[in-house]
Amino acid sequence: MDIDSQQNRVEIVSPAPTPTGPAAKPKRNLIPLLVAFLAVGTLLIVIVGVSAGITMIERAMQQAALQPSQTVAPAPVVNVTPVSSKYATDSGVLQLRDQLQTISDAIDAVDLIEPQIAPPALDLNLNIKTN
Amino acid sequence: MKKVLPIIFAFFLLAAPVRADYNSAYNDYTYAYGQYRTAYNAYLVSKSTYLTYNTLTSQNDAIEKLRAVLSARDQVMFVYYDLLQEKINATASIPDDYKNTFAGIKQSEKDWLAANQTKIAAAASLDDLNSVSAEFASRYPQMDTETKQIIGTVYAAKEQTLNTQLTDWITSLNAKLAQMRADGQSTTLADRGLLNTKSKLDLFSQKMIEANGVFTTKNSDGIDLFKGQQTYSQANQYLREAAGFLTEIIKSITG
Repeated sequence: MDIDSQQNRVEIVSPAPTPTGPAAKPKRNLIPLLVAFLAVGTLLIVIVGVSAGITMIERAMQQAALQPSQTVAPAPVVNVTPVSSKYATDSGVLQLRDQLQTISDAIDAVDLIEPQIAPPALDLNLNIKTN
Repeated sequence: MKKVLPIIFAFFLLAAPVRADYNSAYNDYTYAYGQYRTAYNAYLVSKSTYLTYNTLTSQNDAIEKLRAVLSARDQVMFVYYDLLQEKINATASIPDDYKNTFAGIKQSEKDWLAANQTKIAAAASLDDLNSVSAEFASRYPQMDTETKQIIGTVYAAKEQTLNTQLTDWITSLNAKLAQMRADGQSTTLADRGLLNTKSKLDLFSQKMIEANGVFTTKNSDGIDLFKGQQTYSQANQYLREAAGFLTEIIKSITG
């Protein structure tokens, strides 16, 4: 009985699943692709930025070159435009010029200190007193 | 005898005729001032010795040294008046009346100094000498004012001489410009330059009045010589600027 029972025992085994659709592809690693994409993007941004900076500097230099330069003297130098005159060589005018030069020299050379006639330094408290 | 010699020396110095020229007067002045400095140093030493030891010998020495320095001080002022007289005599544009007036003032001060010298020689004690010295100190502000006014007059005369020369020159220029205009030449720039020059000369005149005021002040502190010098220097600056304009006018004609 035991044997029969053992022989007649029906072993119920669930069947193995059988694939019904097409075969699934293995998953790819996207990280290197992402890194490469980012690197290329960054490089492009840097190139664009550098080129834009160079362009701006060049424009600034061009504008600076176009602007008028500052004069050293605060006031413009006044040039007396010589008048074309037949009196340029007139003896009277030339004589006046020489006289004026003499007077100008005298004005520049005038001594308004006159140390020779300065008051003498005298002690007004000359005395010998015993207390 | 030792006491008499300085008096005789002083008498000859006081009685000596005034040298004719400025350089001689200046030499006399520098010599007298040198004598004063020597006497002054000796006086300081003697005074210190006497006040320290108070002996009869040091007292006698102090009396003689004080007498010597007082006499030398009078002598400096004496020749200083001569120096100033020669200076105004040698300076152009100072009227003769002014020179004569100062000659009178100078003589008055010399008489006073001679009388002071006599008192110095006659003094027999330190108290006498101290008293005579105090008389000089009381008189000095008057002498200081008189002499500084002379210095101011010299400054003013110098500036006024230059101003006169410049004004005369402008008169000549105006004659030439009139000739040029009659000849059909343009004198616009010169005319404008002359207006600027006149403005500067007006400022010069104002500054001269201000400077003169410094030397005629009735201030109790006396005349500020430095301030007077500065004000005349400012007046001189206006003359320089006026001359600068005139130089430009001439350049505009000659090219």
